[in-house]
Amino acid sequence: MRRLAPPAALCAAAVAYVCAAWLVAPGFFDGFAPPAPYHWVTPPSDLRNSNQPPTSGQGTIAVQDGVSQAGHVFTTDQQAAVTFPSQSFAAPPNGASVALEIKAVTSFPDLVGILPAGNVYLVSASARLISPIVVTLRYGSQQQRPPSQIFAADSPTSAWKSLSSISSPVPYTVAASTQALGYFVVGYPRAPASTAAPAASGGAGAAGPPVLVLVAGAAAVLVLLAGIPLMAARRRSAVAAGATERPEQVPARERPEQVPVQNRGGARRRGGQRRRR
Amino acid sequence: MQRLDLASLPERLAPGSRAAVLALLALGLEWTRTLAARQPELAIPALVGGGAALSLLGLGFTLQELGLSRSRLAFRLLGGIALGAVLLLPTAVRRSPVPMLPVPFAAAAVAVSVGEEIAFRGALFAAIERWLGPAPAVLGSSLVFAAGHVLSHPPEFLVAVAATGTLLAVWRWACGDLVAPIVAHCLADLAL
Repeated sequence: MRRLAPPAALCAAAVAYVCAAWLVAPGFFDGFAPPAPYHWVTPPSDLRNSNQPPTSGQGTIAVQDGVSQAGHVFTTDQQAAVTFPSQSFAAPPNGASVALEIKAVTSFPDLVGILPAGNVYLVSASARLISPIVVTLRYGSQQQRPPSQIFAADSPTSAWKSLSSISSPVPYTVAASTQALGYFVVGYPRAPASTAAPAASGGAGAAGPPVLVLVAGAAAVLVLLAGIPLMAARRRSAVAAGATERPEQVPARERPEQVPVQNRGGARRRGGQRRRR
Repeated sequence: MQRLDLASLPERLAPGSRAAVLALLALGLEWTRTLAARQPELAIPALVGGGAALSLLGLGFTLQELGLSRSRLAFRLLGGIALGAVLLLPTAVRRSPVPMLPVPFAAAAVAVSVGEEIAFRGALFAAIERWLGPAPAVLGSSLVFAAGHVLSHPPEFLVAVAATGTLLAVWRWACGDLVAPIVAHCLADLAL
């Protein structure tokens, strides 16, 4: 650090950050709590003893002036959620509210061509869906990379189809927009035996090293440009304060006074150090 | 008998002891708020209370020592937006834009972000810098920051957390500024 100029250090730190964040999907996040263990309907063999059953979620969607209101319904273990804008459901003619339920199920259409990464959830409502809603599912297992797709089936006899996933702000979840209620599961398309496991859309495999280099370069330039005015001001302050005698050549603990260059007043600290002496 | 002046207490400690005490307090507060937030009904109070408690670690330091000078505030705020963009860049490039947190969590995220910056890049950085110099301050505050997230993050994310701490700490050293790290941390937490 002594010989490393601040602009160079800033660029190096930005590049290091981008590389480190690139290793994990979706990138750096400052989550509030670690993910709780996934609650499986049918747990993997190694989790059979500790597994807890998944919970369901119910919600009531208010209807005002013939329009169903926006809202959010999720299972109490927060493994599945449905988010809907207003006018998503056909309002009942009598003005009654709409009931919506999410529950993990054991009976569902055969998962042909799908490698599930979580439970199959059935989303049902007391009114017809008339515009798209968003289904968000947490996944419990990862193969080589996090799953990136939600599959849906309208009824117990219909075939599964892949939904277009959208960004989910919650780690370990995948979200997708759907125009029909029914069965939903997060997972991977089952690859042929000779094919490697699918890469997540947000994984490093989806955007290789050239993109990483561009992103790292952009980060370095951005942080450098933003820091130049403050670094220049700091340097000018140091010169004006007569702090140009290269204090960094003296080990920190031997310096008589380490007043930050911007702290030209510094009476409080100097007073404190006098006391210690 | 001399009155106990809590505000001046940190200054009475030797620099090394002061840094060690601050590191332990910051770690303790981070871990406590994380464990408390595991109870769903305590999630938001724990985040807000934890953020406020972390902010208290800045007591005994001047605003300049914490990097919170108001001079060139516009540049500091712009720097914060740029740093925030850098923090979000890896995610934004690989995924479509993400929605913001719900309002109660957004307020809690801001409280935690401000508290963490004052504790780690403000007080702890200043204490280590006074004791050992800037390089150990960058390294030490980043390592303690990563350690503070051991309970709240999966292990594979800790390298990214440490790298985040390093980037923000280098900014703190290079620009003498904590406003930008606070703004950037808030933006990143709100969006992710």
